[in-house]
Amino acid sequence: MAAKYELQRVQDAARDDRISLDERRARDELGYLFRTTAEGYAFAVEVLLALRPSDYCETVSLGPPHDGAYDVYGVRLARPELPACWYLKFKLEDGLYGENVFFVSIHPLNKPMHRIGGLLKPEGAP
Amino acid sequence: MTTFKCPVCGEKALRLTTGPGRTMRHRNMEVAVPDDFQLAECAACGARPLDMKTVKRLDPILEQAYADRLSATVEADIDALASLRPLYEWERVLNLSAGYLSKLRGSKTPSAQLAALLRLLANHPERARELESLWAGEAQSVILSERLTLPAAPFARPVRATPLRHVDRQVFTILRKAA
Repeated sequence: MAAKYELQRVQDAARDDRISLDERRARDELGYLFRTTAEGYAFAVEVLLALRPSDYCETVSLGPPHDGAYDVYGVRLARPELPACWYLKFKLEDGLYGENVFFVSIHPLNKPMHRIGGLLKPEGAP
Repeated sequence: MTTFKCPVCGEKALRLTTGPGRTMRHRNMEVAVPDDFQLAECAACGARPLDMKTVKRLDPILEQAYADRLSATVEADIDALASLRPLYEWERVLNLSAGYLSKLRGSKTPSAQLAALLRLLANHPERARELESLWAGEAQSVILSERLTLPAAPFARPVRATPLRHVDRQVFTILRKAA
């Protein structure tokens, strides 16, 4: 199964800061880890740019009120001050200034995830 | 009013809103968004997605609101503590420089850690005794004494949930032994 949204286009949008975040499982989650919201957004861009096709897990449709399909990725980062493994769920949509990445989730991974590139386990998972 | 497609529900109901009563999480605190600041909000599903441009404008405003709320919280808790003991005694309990708490009542912005500690002490001023014991070097921590006396799963019980009377008894026993 392939990702719904071409990763190159996702990363093009990220490079141009064309991202937006939903509240609870995205913005609020980063708010606990970063001093400012802008730092959290810069981190979201950094994570998107670090993604490889092998980090893809699945494409899902969420229940109401959510519309459209979201790609789910898991990625391991080398930032010692932050949790190593991250869970991302986003879609690419048309925005005012071109395509925009909309995150519904971006937070530390809390359970093992099967990706194209192999199993990703959060710290402390059996 | 101009509306846009909501990224969450897909309805063309996302519009810029202003008005009182709106809050947003900043760090770990819910703070008020100024009434005149325009935020995108979906009239259909209530989503409030934020893009990078808005975040860059909003961040300094939320940071100021966060600092203001911390200051207000600390000021109220210092007032509560001051009604119980002179501030210099609380400063000694918290190992703060003389006059530090008075300065916090003025212009100095407190740290979130100190605000948290002051809130706990304002709500449970009797726990100052534990800190006094700590600085006096008279006792091991209450957690350690509990670990020694409670054989069954001591870590399963959160320290905060420990009944105060039990803690007091532990501290009292230790202090009596030390004396």
